[in-house]
Amino acid sequence: MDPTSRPAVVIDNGTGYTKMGFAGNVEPCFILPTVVAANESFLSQPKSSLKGSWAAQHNAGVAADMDFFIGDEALAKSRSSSTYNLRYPIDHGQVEDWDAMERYWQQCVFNYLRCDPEDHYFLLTESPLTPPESREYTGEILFETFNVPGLYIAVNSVLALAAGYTTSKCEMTGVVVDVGDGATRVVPVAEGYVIGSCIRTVPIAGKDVSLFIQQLMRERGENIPPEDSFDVARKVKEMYCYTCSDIVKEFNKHDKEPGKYIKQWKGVKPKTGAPYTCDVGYERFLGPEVFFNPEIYSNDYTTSLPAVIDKCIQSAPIDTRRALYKNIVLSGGSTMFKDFGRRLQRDLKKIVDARVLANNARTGGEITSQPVEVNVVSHPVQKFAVWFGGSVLSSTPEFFASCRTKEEYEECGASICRTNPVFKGMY
Amino acid sequence: MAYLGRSSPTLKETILKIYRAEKPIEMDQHFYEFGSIQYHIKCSISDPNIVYVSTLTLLETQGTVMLKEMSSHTYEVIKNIAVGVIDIVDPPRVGFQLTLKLHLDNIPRGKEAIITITRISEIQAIILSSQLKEMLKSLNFQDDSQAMNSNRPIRIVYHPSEPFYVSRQPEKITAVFPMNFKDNSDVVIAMSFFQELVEVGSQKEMGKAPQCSWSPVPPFQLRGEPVHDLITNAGFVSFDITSRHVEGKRLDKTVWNLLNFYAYVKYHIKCSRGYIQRRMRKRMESLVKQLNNTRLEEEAPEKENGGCKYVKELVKVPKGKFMMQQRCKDMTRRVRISKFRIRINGCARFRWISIPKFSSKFSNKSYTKLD
Repeated sequence: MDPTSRPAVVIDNGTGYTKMGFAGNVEPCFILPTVVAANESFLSQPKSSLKGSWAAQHNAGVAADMDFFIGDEALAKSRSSSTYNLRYPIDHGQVEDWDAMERYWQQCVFNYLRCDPEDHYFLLTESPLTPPESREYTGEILFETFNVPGLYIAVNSVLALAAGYTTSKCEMTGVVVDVGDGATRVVPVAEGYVIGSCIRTVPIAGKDVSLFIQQLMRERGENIPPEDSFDVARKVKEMYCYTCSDIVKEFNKHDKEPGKYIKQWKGVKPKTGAPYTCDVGYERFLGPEVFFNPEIYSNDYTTSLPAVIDKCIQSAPIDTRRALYKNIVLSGGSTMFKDFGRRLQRDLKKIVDARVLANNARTGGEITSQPVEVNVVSHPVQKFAVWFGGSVLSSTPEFFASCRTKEEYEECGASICRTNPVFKGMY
Repeated sequence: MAYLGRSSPTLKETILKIYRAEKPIEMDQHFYEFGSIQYHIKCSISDPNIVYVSTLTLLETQGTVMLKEMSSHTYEVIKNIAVGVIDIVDPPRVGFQLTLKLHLDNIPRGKEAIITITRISEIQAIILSSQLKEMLKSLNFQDDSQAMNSNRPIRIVYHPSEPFYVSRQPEKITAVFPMNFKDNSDVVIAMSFFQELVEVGSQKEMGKAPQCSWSPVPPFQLRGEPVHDLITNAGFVSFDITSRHVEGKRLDKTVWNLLNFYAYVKYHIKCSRGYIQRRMRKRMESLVKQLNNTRLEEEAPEKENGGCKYVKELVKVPKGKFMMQQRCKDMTRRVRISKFRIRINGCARFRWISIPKFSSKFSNKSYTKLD
């Protein structure tokens, strides 16, 4: 059967989590942590030992090579036995460890999605700052090892923009604020092309928020078993955190009505099985506050997220700025806090309005400019907006024509993967 | 190896997600497995406890025994997986063979839930195996007179364009798999795999396993089948199944293994390719490290001389590169790729793309010493 008659496989590899599934669906089939647990005990044996024949050693090596797990299973295995080492193939959006990445893809395709790679086209994502060699390498692995019929490597910011299509209009110009687990990036996109020189990175991401919450709970003296504390912090963050409009008022609200605001977290100690509870109080709003007031978390970095976005847009070409302000799209798991979009819009509008006022005052009030419209777009699929954009993209009929096919790869070599045509056909 | 397990991981994961969700969620998903199986899951907010699961397979059979419809026996087996939970909806959803209605509130709580859901996600395996099981059982119990007349093998198509044949012999049943691969390197890996399989299979310890054999020409049972099915580039693998493999619980396993043989071979080939690529990459990295070491050593004394340093370095570099090319010709492309990632101080001027030009120039004449 023709691979073009089947939906493509969409895999979004992020630093913290990988989302994978089939095109045409609203949400991914699997969301797994990007981690590989490999059995490395064989590699540590000295090569010169002649125990057993060469063939036996080779076979043992091959068997050990197949012995690895990914995702949640990997985390569980590494906790339970010491023969498995954890490896994180993606660091800050870039693939660092190609061996682990190849294994990860192998298990994804065969054990989780259970499909034959020769039957489906593939859509992978990458961050806008990846070097072209990395893309070439990805293409090489997929075409050589997995024999895929076609491949398209998309920039994740453009896909996140495409995810906003379903709401009202289709805009390929906007700023994507991607707050993931490992890295936060502000990426302006104009007409489907990323403005590379204006990309800003913020060193605070989902993991930092979890660490901050863990720190706060520890300082208050909650009785959480230490090996679980990071996990508990992460779950508390996902379930109970929200964004407030003003810290001082929030503190007062919490103090006046503790019963309404303080939540309970119930857990079970892993070693003894005894249940325990702990209170979740100020962390609920202090966690997400890290993005707006980073000085509460770290002394080195003090620029708030709205200020970074503003600087980024101001460094973009002048004719795109209004369009960029109008379409600020959120994506990534850490933007799922309640009211995150509203707070961001309010803060950003304050900065922009202050600047416009200062400009008007400088000219003596004679020349006034039109007010700048600031609009932060949030939609229900923010958590996997990139994956969703990929699913939408690969369901359009023009997708198969714009992929790089195996025939092209055989003809021209891996260098064709360096460029992928920007998708204009989505209007 | 979840790849060949009976329960489908996507189906299990999705049903678990719906089951565990605290608020009712809307879901309308379509997924594919092994290329020819399709699932569709539908669940709406208005009816949070009902999930509709539809499946579709392509299993065609031709030959003496025709089994296109799913027998009522299969329906009974499916219903018995979890009493009270599964209802078969008739007619099935458009485009699908079977639609099940799951009542999530009837699933027992706790650990039982996961077991039940795992068994539910095996429906596809049950459907497929049941058809083949019926066929094998009937083949087994046919008496000899009928067998003489109907010696033609039964052709089963599980994955489109990959048929396999099951034929009856006195005392045993043979399953023959014609193997076809699009890629030449696949053929090589597959042939060595089959050879090893036959070798291992003919050892004494494996006496209980079905006898496995490989032949480059179609075995005699298949004479008479349409020619286009018999053109292969990797020969024919056949398994001899005796009656002890089809009794009781072993029937399930035998049938499932037969159905998934192609998938297993493909998986093995892809993993072997991945393994070879990993080893090649490791080797290349170690060679590149050596190259870097020699280059850095040569650079240090050169820096003292003025003037002709530029030309001298150019001469030195192609020589080293030329030896590299002599040693591992097909790694040149990979070395070029890796160079971009590794920054070598002082050589930013020299783009590696231009280097082959120099080396070809210098290799035409024999090495001349520059004074």
